[in-house]
Formats: sequence, C-alpha cells, structure tokens
Amino acid sequence: MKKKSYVKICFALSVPFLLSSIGYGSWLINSKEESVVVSGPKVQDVPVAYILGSPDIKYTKIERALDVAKSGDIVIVIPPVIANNKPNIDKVTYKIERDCTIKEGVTLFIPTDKNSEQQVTNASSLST
Amino acid sequence: MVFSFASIISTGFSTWSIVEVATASVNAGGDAIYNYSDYINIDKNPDIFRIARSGLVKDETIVYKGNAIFKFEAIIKNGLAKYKSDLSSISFVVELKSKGTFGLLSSSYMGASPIVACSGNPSGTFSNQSNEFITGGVKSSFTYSAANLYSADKAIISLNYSFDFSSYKSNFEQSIYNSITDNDFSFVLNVKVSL
Repeated sequence: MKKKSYVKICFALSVPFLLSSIGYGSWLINSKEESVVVSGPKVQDVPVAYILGSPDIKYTKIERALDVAKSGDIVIVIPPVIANNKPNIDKVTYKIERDCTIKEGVTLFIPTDKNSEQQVTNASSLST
Repeated sequence: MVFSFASIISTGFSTWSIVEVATASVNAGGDAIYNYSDYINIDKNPDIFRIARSGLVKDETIVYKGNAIFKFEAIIKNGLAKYKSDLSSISFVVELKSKGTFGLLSSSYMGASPIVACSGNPSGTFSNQSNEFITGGVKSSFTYSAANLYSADKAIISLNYSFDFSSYKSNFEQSIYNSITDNDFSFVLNVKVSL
C-alpha cells in the first residue's frame, strides 16, 4: 500500500519536471559520414624501363624513366615478356606516347636481342 | 517510477548530445539543433595508388610503398564559427573504414601502428594526435589549430595514410594483386567534430 502511494507521488512530481524541460534541450549532431569509392584500383601497367644501377625502381613508361634519368645514367628498356616468362625480342613493339627528351649524358638502351639486356652493366659495356 | 528517475537524473542537463562530445564552449541556447555536420564536406576523390601485377603504381613508377590521401573541408566563417565566434581550434575524430573484401586498412599493409600524417589549409598545428586500428579501419583523433581560424572561409584537412607492401615484393601478384577481387576500393569516411 505504502509502495503504491510512493510511486504515485514520484509520478506526480516527475510530470512538472518533464513539462518544464520542454524548450530547454539542444541537440548536437557532429558526425558526417560518406561513402568513398575508388574505381578500378587494379591496373594492367607493367614495368618497361629502369635505370642501370637502380634495378629495384622500375617505370611503367619509358618517358618517365627518361624524365628521372640524370647525366651519366643508362635507361634500360625492359623487353616484353611472353607466356613462358622469357623476353620475346623478335616481335617487339616499344611505345613512347608523349614527348620526351633524352637529356645530355643520358643513354637509352633498347635491347635488340635476347641477351643484350643482361650484358649491359655500365657505360663501357655498351661499346662491346 | 521511471519518469521520476528520468527527471531527477536530467536535472541540470539542458544540452543533450546525440554523440559524445564536449559542449562546454558551445553557444548553447534553448531548443536548438547544432548540426555541425552541415559544415563538413568530404572529398569523394581521394588520391590513392593503383595496383599492378608487379607492385603499386604511382607517377608511372612501380613502388612498394604508397599513400592514400583523403580530404574533407570544414566551413568556418559561415559555418562552425557561428557556434563559437572566437574559434581557434577544432577537434576531429576521423574513422576510415574499408568496405570491400580486401582488408587494405590493416596492420598487414600499414605496419603495427598506422601512420597518418595530417595537414591543413590554412596551415596550422595538429596536436593530441593519435591513430589506431579499429575494426575494418583506422581511427585518427587530432586537434587542428590555426591563427585567426574563425575568419577563414574554410579549412581543408588532409589525412595521408601510409602503406608498405615491401614484404610482398617477391610474390606481389599472388599475394596482393590476385587477392583483390573487387572492382573498386570502397571506403566509409566518418568525421566527428568538437568545438
């Protein structure tokens, strides 16, 4: 009996509190969310050139390798690879798609047979 | 009973937050909605590397370390400064999550602790910065401060996420390239603002 009275009193007290709070609330929305899609992250680019002495850095455009090369550098064009993972030197097409310059002191080496790429080790080996 | 507890607990709390945020410095009035999100615009064209069979492609070069730059802008003068006229710093919590099957945003490709470099325009300082992995992504918290920030039209914030695939160099095609089965990289970027 006592408990019921207590509940009633609490309820009666709470109503004025709740009513009086109307108009004093502020809502804060501080979060913005968006989906971001990057189309086609996979590309078919293959390494086509590198600078002798830096075989770990390969370029997907011959032009780019020539842009980066400094006087004294030898830019080696990488022969295309066929299914058995060997260079197919006999039927090769090298493409340069934009204007570029072979700067003074820079050598561009285009392999013309299956072994010549490996034979180039430095500037002096080019004359052999 | 429930109402009575609610009323007692709410005594003294005139500002309600949808999300947890410090509101002490906000120009709070009665019965208002402070929608900071209206003044945040997320750039949907992030600058991110491409992935070839041999490695990442960046600037026509095959590399094994790459970056992804995500940006968003905060409208200041006609935006956030309306809530705080002397605005000099803004705290952000940025969550970037990847949605696809390939877990790009993970310790496998970002190292034990994610490296996220922040920059802003106008240039400013970044303090209280922390980065951590969360489920499916990376959470970055920082405070951006700039001189006379309140008078700037907007602030552009860039987050530069670092990736390192060097340990997959010898078998990149099998371990990385072939593992990416989705046509797109999909992300969700969530930016939370506190003034």
